[in-house]
Amino acid sequence: MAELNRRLVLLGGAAVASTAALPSWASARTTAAAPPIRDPFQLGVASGDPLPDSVVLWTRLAPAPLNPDGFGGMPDATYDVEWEIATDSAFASVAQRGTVATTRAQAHSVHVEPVGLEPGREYFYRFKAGGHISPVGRTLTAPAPGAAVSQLKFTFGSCQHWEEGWYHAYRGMAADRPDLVLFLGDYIYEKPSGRPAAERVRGLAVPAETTTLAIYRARHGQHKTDADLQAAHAVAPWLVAFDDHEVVNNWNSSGSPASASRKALAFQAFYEHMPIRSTAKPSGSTIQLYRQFVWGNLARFHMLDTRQYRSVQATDNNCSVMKDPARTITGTAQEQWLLKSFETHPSTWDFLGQQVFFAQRDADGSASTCESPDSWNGYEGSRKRITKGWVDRGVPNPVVLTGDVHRHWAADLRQDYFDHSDPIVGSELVTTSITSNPGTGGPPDATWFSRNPHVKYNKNQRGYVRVTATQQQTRADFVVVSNALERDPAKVTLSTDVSFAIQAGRRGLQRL
Amino acid sequence: MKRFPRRLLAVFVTVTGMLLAGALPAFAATGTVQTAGDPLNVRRAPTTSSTIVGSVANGRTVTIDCQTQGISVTGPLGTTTLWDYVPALGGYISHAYVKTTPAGQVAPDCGVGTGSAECSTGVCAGEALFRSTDGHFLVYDRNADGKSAVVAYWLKGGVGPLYAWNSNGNGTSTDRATGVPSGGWVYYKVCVADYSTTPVLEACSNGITDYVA
Repeated sequence: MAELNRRLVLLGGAAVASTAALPSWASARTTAAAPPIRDPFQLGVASGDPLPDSVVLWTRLAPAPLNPDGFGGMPDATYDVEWEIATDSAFASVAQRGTVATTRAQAHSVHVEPVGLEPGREYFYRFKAGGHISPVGRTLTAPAPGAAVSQLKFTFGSCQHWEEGWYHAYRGMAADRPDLVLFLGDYIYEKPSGRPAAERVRGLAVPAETTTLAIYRARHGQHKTDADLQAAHAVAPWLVAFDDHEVVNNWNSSGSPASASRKALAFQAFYEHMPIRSTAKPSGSTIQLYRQFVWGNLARFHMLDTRQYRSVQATDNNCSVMKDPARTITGTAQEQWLLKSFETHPSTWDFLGQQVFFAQRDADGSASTCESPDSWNGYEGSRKRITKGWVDRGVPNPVVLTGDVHRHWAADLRQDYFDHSDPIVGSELVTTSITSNPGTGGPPDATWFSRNPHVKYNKNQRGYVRVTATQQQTRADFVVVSNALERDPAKVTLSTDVSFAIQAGRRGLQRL
Repeated sequence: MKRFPRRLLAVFVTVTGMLLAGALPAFAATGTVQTAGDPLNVRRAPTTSSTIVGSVANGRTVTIDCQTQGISVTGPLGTTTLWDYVPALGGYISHAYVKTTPAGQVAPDCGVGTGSAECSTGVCAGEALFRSTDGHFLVYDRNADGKSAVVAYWLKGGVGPLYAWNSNGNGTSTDRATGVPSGGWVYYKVCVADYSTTPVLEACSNGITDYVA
């Protein structure tokens, strides 16, 4: 046995000598300073940011993922991680493979960005480290630029407070087997839940507020121990955005409530745990997260960052501040980037993946009072410039995708929401929370809807949104979880509460 | 795009399979107990307020499975917060009494699948041992404080905390199974609390991940 083992290892070494770029078990064995580790793939695998020739492959080595030091049980040593990506789930046809080294400086996270993949293709990937093999992930590359694409199925979710429910919504997403998953913010929360004990189904292993890199890492790591979340990450590439709670509640471009040093800690842990590109590797207290993805001639995704560059929120619903055109929720550079992109129309649909409520919501119907200063309501100048921007530039079919508010909503978009006959210029689909619990409370009353006739739907239940886009229409199924506080999947149902359609070339939501 | 030859891939997988089949290699260290001459106390957990579970003679050679940070102790070899876990002795000894080469960290951090223990903070009113051989917690109540000793623990897949209680009073112990399979991990901390299905945990230890053998 020992003889056979040695011979095989030598064979492996010979193989690598003939293909210099490829790794080998021999080279892995030379990492003598790296102590043996237990199965380090406790956080699963993920992929994201698909391009026509490339997709990010992610994992993090963490055999003890909840350790309060944030190191995941990894010794302070360099580990080689082998990866391979194949066109079949049995890995009979491996397209590419390689090795990357990872260290404690990056919490032993791994980001691989293979290039030269085929466009519009399904792939499978896995990792190996320390003699252990990871679970297999499925991913896709984007179709070639301009390629005729007949259908895209994607899901989107947001707000997954660890303590406030079970991740049945992700079980649903995994079963949907979508082409893409969008996450629109609040992947972690900086503090433990304030809900009553009966509404907290599990606990944080390290419950202290995320004020150190160790706690941010432990918090992210604990989320990725969830089996349903792992399944959703493993089923499709994700496009990830953050909102406020990945750093601290209601942070903005200023030094309060998040100081530059706290932003730096949060961004580092965020990068370490997300399948995002090296272009999003943070530089101190800045991180480049707004970006675009094109799905052939069918869809384009503008993933926005409405947190990092925003003006300080208005206080006391101060209308003169909230309507001040000098203020911004995107920052000038991102706004110019977005408006510039609106000048080209490579695809039928333009989806703006972003964090906070875009459409106006105004309870009293009066332009002289204001509400919701953390949403686009609080940055009316930005909302007007961007809405007018897509109208003026002839964006064919704009759809805003939103998270944050812990309820399903659907709304049409106008340039003047107080004029109920103002033309509809787009639509917004708002996903409820995966788990985060807003408490009880039904939809607004008829008076409210009469003052906000562009708003078509509200549902206070946990879930996600499943979108099927074709050249003819975008269909949105608002999926609800019967009870996110019940752990047993046999006692929980996922169902579509309502579906809306938007027809290409025509404005406005149609209830199906 | 490079394709890895099929034949070599097969070899790669075969080697992997062999590595997976093998047990985790042992990487314990050895040290020599050095006192003024008297025997050294062995503690259940890495603090001087923990239960004395035995003693070890000066000059004895011990096998250290792992090391962990605990309460600071001053001994013949200096002052250190490092404690050595010696399964053959059934507990921990302060590294201030153990001569090793090099002098400090010579073994992995604790949580290596051969057992571990922690105390609640303060007087170690709650003390618990994780027994790796079968994945059980032995939970000790060591203070007549009107509180239970409790282990809060988390498992693979996103479950936790679960609780291993000892509500039998000062001086008692309980044996609680976790059901974690061989090779599985458990992250736990030892606390005190009033018994409840949703307890308010107090005086929790740092927390440690260990494995079932």
